[in-house]
Amino acid sequence: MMATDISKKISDEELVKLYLESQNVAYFTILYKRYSGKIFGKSLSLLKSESEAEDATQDIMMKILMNLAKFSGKSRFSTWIYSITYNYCIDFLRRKKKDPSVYVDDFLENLDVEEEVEDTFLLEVNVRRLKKILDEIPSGDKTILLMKYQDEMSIKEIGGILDKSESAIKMKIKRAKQKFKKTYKATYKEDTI
Amino acid sequence: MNNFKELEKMQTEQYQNSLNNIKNNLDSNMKTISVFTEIVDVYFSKVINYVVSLSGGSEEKLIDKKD
Repeated sequence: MMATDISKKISDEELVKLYLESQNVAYFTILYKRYSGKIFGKSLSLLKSESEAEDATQDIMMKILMNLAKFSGKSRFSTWIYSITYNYCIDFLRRKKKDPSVYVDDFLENLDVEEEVEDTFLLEVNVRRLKKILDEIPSGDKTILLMKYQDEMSIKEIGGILDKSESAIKMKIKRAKQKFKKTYKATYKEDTI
Repeated sequence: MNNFKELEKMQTEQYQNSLNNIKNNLDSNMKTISVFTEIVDVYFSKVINYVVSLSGGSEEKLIDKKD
């Protein structure tokens, strides 16, 4: 069966297996088409520079290619790819010291921990405003919100990537949502989303 | 409704040129790796045999030793 014929039917995990067995680049190209845009989008969101996001995406795709044999299948392939992406971007920001909040754990301790922000508030903000607010909030908050709402990762999966306990991740999400809402309210005075 | 997903889709469409650049660079890297792998596959064993014969050994002896 030709790789192009099966591009829409076959799962990521099967493509990995087929690529490793055959070393046929066509299988990896399908994975590239599925994920390069997403990896680029995340890199751009976190690094805030188109050229750095291009370089990052290229490096991440090479890293994925060179490490495909290490993918054990214990997690979803998408989770594995996103963990490489987030870790790459976090390391990059740390090295550049562009945004210290990436590695400061309690950067939001002054927020009211009692206030619960509804998921619908974040999910229904119009796209242009969503992008603006995500660009305003610290990278640590943005990362965790992208993981939860864009990649739909579980608390356990996020904890695995960031090497934190599930309760710590829950608290981080709660605080990131509060930060998002606070920034939104400060930017757009009216209540409509 | 999930506008995080919409944002992701919008970025993918908006930056198609960047994605094409990345794909071209990646293709070129993959070709380089492929050529390098072929060179290693074809010539490395010959180089090993040459080194073995230079040091006075032979392939047969190596096989004998393994047995």
